Amino acid sequence: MRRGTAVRRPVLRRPDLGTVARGLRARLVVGFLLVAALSALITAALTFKEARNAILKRTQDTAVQQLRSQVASQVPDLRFPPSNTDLLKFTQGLERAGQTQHWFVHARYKGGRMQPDNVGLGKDMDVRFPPGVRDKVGAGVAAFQRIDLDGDPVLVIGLPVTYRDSSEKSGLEVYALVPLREDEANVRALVNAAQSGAVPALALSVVPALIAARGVLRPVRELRRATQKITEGELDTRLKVTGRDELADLSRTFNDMAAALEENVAELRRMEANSRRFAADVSHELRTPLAAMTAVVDVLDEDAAGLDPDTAYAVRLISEETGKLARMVEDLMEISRFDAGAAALHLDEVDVAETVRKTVQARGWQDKVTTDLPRGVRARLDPRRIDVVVANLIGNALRHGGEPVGIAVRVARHPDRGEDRLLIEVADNGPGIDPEVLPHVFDRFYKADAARVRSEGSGLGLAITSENVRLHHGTVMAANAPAGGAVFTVDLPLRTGEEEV
Amino acid sequence: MRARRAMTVSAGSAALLGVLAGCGIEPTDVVEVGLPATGVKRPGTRVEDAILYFASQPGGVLPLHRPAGGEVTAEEAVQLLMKGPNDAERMRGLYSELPRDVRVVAIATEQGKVRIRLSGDAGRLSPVARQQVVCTAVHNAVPGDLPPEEVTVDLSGTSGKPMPDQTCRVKDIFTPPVSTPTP
Repeated sequence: MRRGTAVRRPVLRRPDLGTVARGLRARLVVGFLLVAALSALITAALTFKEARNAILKRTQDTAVQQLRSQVASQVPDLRFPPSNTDLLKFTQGLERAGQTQHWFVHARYKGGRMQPDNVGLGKDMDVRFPPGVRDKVGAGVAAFQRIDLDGDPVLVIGLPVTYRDSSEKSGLEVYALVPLREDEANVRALVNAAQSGAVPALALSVVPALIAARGVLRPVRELRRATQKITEGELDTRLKVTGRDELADLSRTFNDMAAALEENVAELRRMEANSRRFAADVSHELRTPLAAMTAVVDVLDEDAAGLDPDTAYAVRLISEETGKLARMVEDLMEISRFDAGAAALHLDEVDVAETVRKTVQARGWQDKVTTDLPRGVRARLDPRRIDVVVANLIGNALRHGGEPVGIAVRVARHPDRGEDRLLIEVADNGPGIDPEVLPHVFDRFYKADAARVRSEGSGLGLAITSENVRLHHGTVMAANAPAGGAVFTVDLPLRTGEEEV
Repeated sequence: MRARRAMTVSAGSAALLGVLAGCGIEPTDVVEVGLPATGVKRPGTRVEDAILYFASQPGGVLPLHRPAGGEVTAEEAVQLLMKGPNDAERMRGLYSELPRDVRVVAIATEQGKVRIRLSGDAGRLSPVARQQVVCTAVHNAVPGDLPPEEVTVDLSGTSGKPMPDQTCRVKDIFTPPVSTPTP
């Protein structure tokens, strides 16, 4: 991994409300609540139904049994056949005896009028003594029906009476209306009890839900933290595996993945380091013989004029190529220093226009380069490296683009960070760069034109430029100007190194 | 997926609402509850009830017809009286003023006369308790077939003074006032 490469950090943001609502915790809590609500409701409903039925059954059985025993007890006192007054007295006796039931008793003889005679006829009669019950009683069968009388539940019991010691109908029919007010109150109390029991149960179910959510979320949170660490480059991060559930499996798999990743990265680094060391060693080893060769070739070159033309041509060719080789080895060593992290910035406060002008003059490019250098732009940078950057860019433009090459220096404010940036633009008037090549121009030994294998450059110029700019925490970009020609833009902080202190 | 979840939720809510709506007491159909009551005297047949006198609020005694298998003698009726009212009779508000520990030591009948010997002092019985015993004795079968008002009772106890020639005074019999209750 290249040093200085900015690692993209995952942003640790607070989850917004929508994420929380859809999060595991919320879903678990809601799920628990639903299950608790459903079970509480079903339990309450079933219990309530059973209890209500039991209450009503007891009331009904008691009422029927009491009415039957009262009738059996009091009917011997009734003169038979009874007059309306006798029936009235009889019902009064029954009502007095049924004080615990609060019932209202009516009686009639052989289909005559109900006594007491305060019941309307027709509809009222049908409402109070439903035809179903009257039919059963008429057929000699005791029966009851629960009805709704003006919104209150009422139990209507119909009881036919037979002659003593035989099952022959006597024609006497007794009806009792039993109000179920107390039972209704009991049932309502049951409903209230069920409700007030369900609400705390619901509230309590939040607690196990939260505990369960914690149990699930803790490994997930740890997994997230470990992933973040790995992303930040701490490849030796491992998770503690506890338990044998799916999350433990996930943690184990994560550890395996991290181990494999660490191993691969270490292998890659080792291989990369090896190849770099090899390049550095090779260039270093080549330098000494090259120095000797250069010295010899220089001597030969001086004497070339005295040689015959063929030999002189060969000598000049060797001299030229040897110089090129020496430059390439220098460039290779420079690149190796960057790769080894040995390149250091020697920052100095300089006048940018002055620095650029010196570069142009030193190379003798005054005639080929138009400059736009505002006065008084001062920056903190490594002048030697900026010299290399500018020289490489202009040299590249002169070689591949068309004259005149323009160089401009500007100061611009960074749109995001609000700090001043130094912009150095080098533009040429050539045909521009093929868009397919554009992303690769800073790659090492990348040739824009595959056919032009041999060129004056080492193939490392733009790569060295890029490394130098990176060392200043800046960027260099290649683009094509709308009017044609390539534009290289170097973007540097105006005061390199200061913001980092 | 979302639509299915919405459907599940609405179905669940509908079910819950259905459960909640079932609260309260609902009307029913007609339900048969067994045999009819019995006990009506067939007109023109002979009465075969035990006639027992029990106390009733607000004072006085009430005659009570308790169905019996055959003719009931004074001896049997007094023994029944001693056992007190049954559940149904108690619910009608009838009770006995005779102390629980009072037993019939001896009872004998002769022409128009009943002799009863009770445990304890018969003189210490309340007037209502005395009326219960006397009226029950005279209104059941006593040899001689005299009207009940003419039968006399000799009441005595294992201690205290005997009380001869007691009669059942009908004017003490309480008749409940007639009122028309409204349902």
